[in-house]
Amino acid sequence: MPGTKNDKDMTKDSDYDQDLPPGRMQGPRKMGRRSVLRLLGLGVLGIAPLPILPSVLRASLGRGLVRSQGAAARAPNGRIRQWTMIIDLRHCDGCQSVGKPPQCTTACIEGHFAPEPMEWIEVFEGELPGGGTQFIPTPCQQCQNPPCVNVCPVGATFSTPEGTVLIDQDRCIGCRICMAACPYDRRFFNWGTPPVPPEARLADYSPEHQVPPKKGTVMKCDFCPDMVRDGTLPYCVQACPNRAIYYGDLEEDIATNGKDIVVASRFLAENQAYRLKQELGTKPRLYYIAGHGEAVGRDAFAKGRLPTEWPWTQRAKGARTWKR
Amino acid sequence: MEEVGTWRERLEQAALAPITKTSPMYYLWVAFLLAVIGWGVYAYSRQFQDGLIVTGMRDRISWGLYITTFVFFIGISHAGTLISAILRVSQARWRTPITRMAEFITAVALVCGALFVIIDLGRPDRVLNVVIYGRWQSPIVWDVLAITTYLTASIAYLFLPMIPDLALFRDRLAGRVSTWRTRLYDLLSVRWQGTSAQRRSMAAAITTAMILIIPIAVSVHTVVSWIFAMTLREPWNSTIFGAFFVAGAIFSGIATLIVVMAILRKVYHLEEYITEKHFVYLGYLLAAFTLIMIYGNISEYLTTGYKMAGDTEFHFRQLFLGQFAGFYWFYFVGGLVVPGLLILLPWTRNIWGVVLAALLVSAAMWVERYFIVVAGFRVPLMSYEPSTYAPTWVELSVMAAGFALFALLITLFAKVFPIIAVWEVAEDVESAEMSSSAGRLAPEPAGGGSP
Amino acid sequence: MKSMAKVLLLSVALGGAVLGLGRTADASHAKLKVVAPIELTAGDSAEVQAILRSADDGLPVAAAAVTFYMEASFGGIDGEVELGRAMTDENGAAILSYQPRSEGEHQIRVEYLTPGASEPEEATWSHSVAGATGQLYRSTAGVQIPGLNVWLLIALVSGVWAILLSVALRVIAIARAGTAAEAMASEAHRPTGAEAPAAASRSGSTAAR
Repeated sequence: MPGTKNDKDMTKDSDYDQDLPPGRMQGPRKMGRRSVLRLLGLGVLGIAPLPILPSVLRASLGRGLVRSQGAAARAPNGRIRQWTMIIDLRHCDGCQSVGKPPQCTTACIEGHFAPEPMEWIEVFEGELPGGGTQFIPTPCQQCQNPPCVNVCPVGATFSTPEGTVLIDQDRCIGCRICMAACPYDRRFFNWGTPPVPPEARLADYSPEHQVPPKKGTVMKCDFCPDMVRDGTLPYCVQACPNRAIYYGDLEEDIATNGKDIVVASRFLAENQAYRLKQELGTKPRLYYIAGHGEAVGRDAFAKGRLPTEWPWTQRAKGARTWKR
Repeated sequence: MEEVGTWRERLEQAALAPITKTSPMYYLWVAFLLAVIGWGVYAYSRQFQDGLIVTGMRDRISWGLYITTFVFFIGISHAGTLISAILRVSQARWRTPITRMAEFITAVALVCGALFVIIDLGRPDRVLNVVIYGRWQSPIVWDVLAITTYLTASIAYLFLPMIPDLALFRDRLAGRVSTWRTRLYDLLSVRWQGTSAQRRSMAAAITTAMILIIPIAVSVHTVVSWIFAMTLREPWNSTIFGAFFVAGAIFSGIATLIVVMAILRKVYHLEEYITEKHFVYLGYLLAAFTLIMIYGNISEYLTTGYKMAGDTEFHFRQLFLGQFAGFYWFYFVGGLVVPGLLILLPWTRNIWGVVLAALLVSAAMWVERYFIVVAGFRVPLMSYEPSTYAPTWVELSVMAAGFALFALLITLFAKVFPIIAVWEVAEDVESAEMSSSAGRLAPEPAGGGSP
Repeated sequence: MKSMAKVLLLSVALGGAVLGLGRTADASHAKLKVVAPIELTAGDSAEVQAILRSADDGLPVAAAAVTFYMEASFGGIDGEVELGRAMTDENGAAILSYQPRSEGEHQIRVEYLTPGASEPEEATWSHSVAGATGQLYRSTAGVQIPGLNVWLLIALVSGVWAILLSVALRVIAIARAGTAAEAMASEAHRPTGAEAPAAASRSGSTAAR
């Protein structure tokens, strides 16, 4: 019968403290349970704002999100450098004329101990209308509207005052959304223990000198900020036998390939310089001048270049390379 | 009167039965699931030690099975929102026996989904960086915010209507189950006595939660889709992603609910409460969503294919004719057209037909996430040969463990909590009885029983 | 014979005169002069005028190509950069729009190569450039829409969590109401018997909507 059932339903006899005076609402045990409940509720409420708390704090404290690195590179007049790179493809033949793998890539790999198979500056062979090919050395484009910086959840990749994009491998969580976002295929992941020679492990890591690389994080070309701050040109610029790569400063409006100096804006305008995938709106700092190595005698239909090599034979213990 | 009372008793017995009776099959099943999970944990330990090199992901295709499964689980988490919230808002009576399962699928799926993101990280030891250094401009941070909010809201929304049933458990199971369970029911039933004040509070809370959870759920899968749509890769650079993913999520959520419902109904003998009608109605919803998904596919592929801008040609070749053709056409034909037909054709519109359709849809939606991720990555960005992605045993093991965890949590839930919303079903039946045959049965007064 | 010699002499004289005139128009000896401000600030555009006049008669030389160079040093390399080139107009003036970017003492070298001559004509112009107050090169990306910032997102997320909070408070209200009901029932329980509890507690009974 419903009635009798409900009798048992409601409460257990043990709940009642038989000795309590009629006026007393609850026994001590009930008090205990109630405060437990309160604590639970408050605890939940306390945890509740956690997801947004850091952003609130940061926004209110006005703290910058950029991980600190070295001082901004400045010209003698004190203004901050605005690095740019101009690659004159009329002079790039994929190092066919020197009979070696592309020297820009080789120098970059050696200078940074870039783990195999990373080619931070990679010489792609693109097709030309009519059937020939052109060689396009492609480092990080150092975008002014960088898709990688935009999507990074922890700010591990960031834009510098000089306009370049760096990565802090101590903050990177390895989510690889930046690799999904980069439209130029210029970011590389350390899938395993990076295969680098033992001497690489002696270096001090900094976002401006990515040695040694760390497993589970992302790396890429950084325009050699530690070198150019002191006035030394990047490895790729120095190594190009045809002097096809110019490195420059848009603030001072000047660029050099290690032999000639040009006024950057004039050099770009007079040679109808363009940028890769300009329609995507990434606004790269890297410009190209169209060509296929004709200035150094290459025929547009002379296809092929030698494959890149990573010169060290010793690798760090336990490291193995992977395919890209 | 007596019929109602007996009916009510049967309902309560059905709800209590899983708690009080445990068959050996249950232990076998749990043992199997634990074995799969254990193997997955071992596989992950290898990944944790050696790095993601043990997977098949590489620079060119840098997401694979893990992100696929993450998106899939977040997708099926929309089961609860649809059934519980949307159907509750529209006061669809038939939803009452299945709301509890739907809500629980939501919570479990969110937990499993979030797990897969962490598994995919290259540096999981730094996962807290997202909280400490989080950038609000990042789609991943939107994801974290949305999923934590949705998980909290779903747990609240799971818990609230369960309070009266937990009180039932507290009252009926006292002394028949272990102490920790008694304490649990005691605690979680928050002193529910069925007083009008409590009923008012609960009604207000449920109303708030059910209205709030719908936009939260929509936002969750939208921001998950924006992890892809905020990039510049050709197959992902589409404005339709948000809406398409939400539709796909509700779609896969319904399918998962049908499958879980069929299994739990069989195992716990709930045939009286979960009838063919429920399968058919859910089947109608499933069929409606197949049409929406077909429309979405046509929208996306016709507009991009007509123009063939950029890398569209490469993507179309790989998706419709090349490497991924098997996946795509299984998804479209096997996951959209065939289930739609199974439900719309009267000869197959029964429990078996609907369950088969749901199984096909579940598999097809996982496949869809797979080719969205992998084929999307495969389109070359510069002049290089496209790569291939092949998952390794580590990824497959961890994925299997994820599904096993999903099944295990649902299994355990059914053993601890009421899998049927007793009070809601009772209320539905009672008001149906009252309205349909006022003469035959004297309505049971809310106040007290007559002897 | 006398008349023939006169004609010859006249023609030679005329020819010489014509040639002489032509030569002054070509200006095999031309003088370059630069007219430009001496003090500049980095970032300000200035006009550098190079005026080309014939050395012989001072007439302006038109339609002549003049090139402007400057010493520069960057990245460890010292050299000369070409700043630009211009054609002289009918007044013999070639105008270059020049924007100095680095401060200090600079020299612009203007060069004109006479056709046929081996040595170019040069003129130099020294000027001093004062420092710029700020960065000259601006690279902007994006559109600033007022109000579309982190605070909007925070407001949205906080709003949702505040509503969830209210739901949590309801649960506490339920618990509290339960305690009160239990207490009332415990008082009623002993003296009266079955009715009150049966009335008060119908777990799972109809909830008001």
